[in-house]
Amino acid sequence: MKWGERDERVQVELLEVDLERAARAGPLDSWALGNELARRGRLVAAGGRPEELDAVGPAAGLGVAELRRLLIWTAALSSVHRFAYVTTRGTAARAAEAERRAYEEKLSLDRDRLPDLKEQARDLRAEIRRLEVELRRRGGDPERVGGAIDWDRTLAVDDYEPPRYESNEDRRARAVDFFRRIG
Amino acid sequence: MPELTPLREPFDGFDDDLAFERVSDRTATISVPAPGLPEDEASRRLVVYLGLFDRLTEALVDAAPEEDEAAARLAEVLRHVQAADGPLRFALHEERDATDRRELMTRMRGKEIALTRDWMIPKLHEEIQRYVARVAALREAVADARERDAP
Repeated sequence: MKWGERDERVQVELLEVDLERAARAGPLDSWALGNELARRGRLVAAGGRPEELDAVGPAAGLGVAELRRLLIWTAALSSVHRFAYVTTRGTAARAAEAERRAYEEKLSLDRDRLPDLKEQARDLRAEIRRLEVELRRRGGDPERVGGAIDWDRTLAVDDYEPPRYESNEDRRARAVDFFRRIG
Repeated sequence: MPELTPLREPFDGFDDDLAFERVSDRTATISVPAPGLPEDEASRRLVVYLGLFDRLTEALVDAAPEEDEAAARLAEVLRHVQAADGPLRFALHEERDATDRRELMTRMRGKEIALTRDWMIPKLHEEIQRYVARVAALREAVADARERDAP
């Protein structure tokens, strides 16, 4: 690099424990360590992946240079995976929390809000039909009464039965009762 | 499975770092010269890790009194890394898979929630109002008919 010229730099994120270990291996400041790791990394990468990397079983019969190259690649690839795993632990926990919230919201709608409305609509629809039959029986014409319903455009809830949600207590009581009967 | 022996400097305590389920998730950034490094972040991280282990293994070899000992120490570290790597890859795959499934499930539930909250509940309220009005009108008509039928 010529005097006054600044090289372009990038930030690379690693696990702190790994970077600390690299720093402990020799007296270099952060700037020099960055230069050193990039220089060494480029050289190793240029040599390509060792064939032994894909072999199954212990690396027997290798000399120091081959063993070292194999270890460098194995540890580096594993560290990239470890970084991915460790830094996504939070993502997985957040996804689980979002799923739990969505489940509870859906359950709350299905258990606390929909059943009342559907039962109310079901009972009113039955009452409308009963009154229409009675009116016809008395010689009246429901079609001439205001507010006629276009049934095809409504939510068909005539056979609706609210779902039964069992509590843990209910399940326990049922299990106790079962064992009492057979026991 | 053969027993793993404790590692020496500069890899002493490395087993704690390899323990992916409990190692600290604290990260640190290092500034490196960009020229000659890959564009994408994961490949760049791999190159820096290659450099990092090149530095550490050089220190390990330099500290060994003779070549056989250096080879034995390298092989021992390799065994430790390999022993941790299989479970790590499996856990990573499982974690990603579970996260994908959870995110998919959350998106599907989100659509169901929106359908229920923004369409079905308002529609039921609106229909109930119309049913109440219709019931009132029919009751009035039935009452009129009863009056007509009354002797």
